[in-house]
Amino acid sequence: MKKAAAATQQPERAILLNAQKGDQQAFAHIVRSYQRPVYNLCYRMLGNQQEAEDATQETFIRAYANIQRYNVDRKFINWVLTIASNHCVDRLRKRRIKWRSLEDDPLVEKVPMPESLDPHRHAEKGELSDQVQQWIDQLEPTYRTPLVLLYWYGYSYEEIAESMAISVPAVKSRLHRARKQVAQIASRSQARPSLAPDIPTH
Amino acid sequence: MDTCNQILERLSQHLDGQLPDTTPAQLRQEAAHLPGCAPMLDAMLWVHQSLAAAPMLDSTRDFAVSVTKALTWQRRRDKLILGGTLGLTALIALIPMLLLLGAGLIAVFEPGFLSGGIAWLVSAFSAFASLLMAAVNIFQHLPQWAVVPVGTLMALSVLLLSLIIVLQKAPEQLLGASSLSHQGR
Repeated sequence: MKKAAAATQQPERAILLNAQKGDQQAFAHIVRSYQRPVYNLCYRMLGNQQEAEDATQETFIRAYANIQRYNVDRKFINWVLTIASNHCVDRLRKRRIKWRSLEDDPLVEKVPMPESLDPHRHAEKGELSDQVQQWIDQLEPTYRTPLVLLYWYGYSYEEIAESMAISVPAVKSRLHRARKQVAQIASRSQARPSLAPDIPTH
Repeated sequence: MDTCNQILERLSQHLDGQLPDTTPAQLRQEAAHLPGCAPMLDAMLWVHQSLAAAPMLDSTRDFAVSVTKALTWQRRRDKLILGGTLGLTALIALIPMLLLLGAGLIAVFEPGFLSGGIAWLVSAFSAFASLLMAAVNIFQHLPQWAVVPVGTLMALSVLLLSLIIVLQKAPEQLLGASSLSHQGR
């Protein structure tokens, strides 16, 4: 108990170094500090609470097993989110679902006109969150990761590229394709809304 | 003039802060000339705003507890596997050693039963068995990271001990055996 209390008072670098020496209390402190961002990433990637919880736990177990390889001079959050996203992509691939492809719907002209385009007019944040999740669930795994890292974690192109081990132009391309694909899905699922559009025009 | 896809790509770049001089209004003006392009542009903007406004989700579960439990269970399982493997190795090594020890016991009643070479082999195997048993006991109390270095150190010690025995005893035994054969003649 005393050890756990001491761990909370240490700077993060010292806690990480202790965790690298095999201190499980220090690692438990790290888990508590980062469980929210890791869980959010897993949920956004997998779209299922139970599976997201399992993936979060597995992410931290893998992080502990590989903690010797972690360089304490780098951000721990980036390292652990890379483990989480790779693990989630593996899980998604195992599902063996045929994902939607942009090539299946190449004509943007087919997209119906959305009349309401203001996400802030959703009744509650929860509704918006669910709606966004439904869109992401229909994306291919390789498109989900850059989208989630950009919108929920504010990653730069370079950080996404490093995390996914791909080039910066590939990140740009995937982000654009992901947005376009989600826009097509969103437009199709939009059932003649009554709210007025509120898109910035300047 | 840009195609619809090119306009949408420029919108994506603008949304990521790559084209600060371009505005959605300018892009919409360009998109208006292309059939079906303006709704797609609006949809992309809508998606961008929705994603940016979506909240960070949290779980009620305390992962520190479940992760610690899982790690403890994993460590126990690893120790069990390691202990089992070492135990099995010791058991396999024990069979020839028991045979050799049996031979040693027979030699007590039948002095001519063991020649010099076999006798020191029995001693070496007995020493090796003791070390192996000690290793099983030690490995069960070691942290995972220390198993390989300690195991290597012990293996090297056994090798060194065997070499010492061979170098010190073997010539003596060989000499003893040759002198015995001369005496026999």
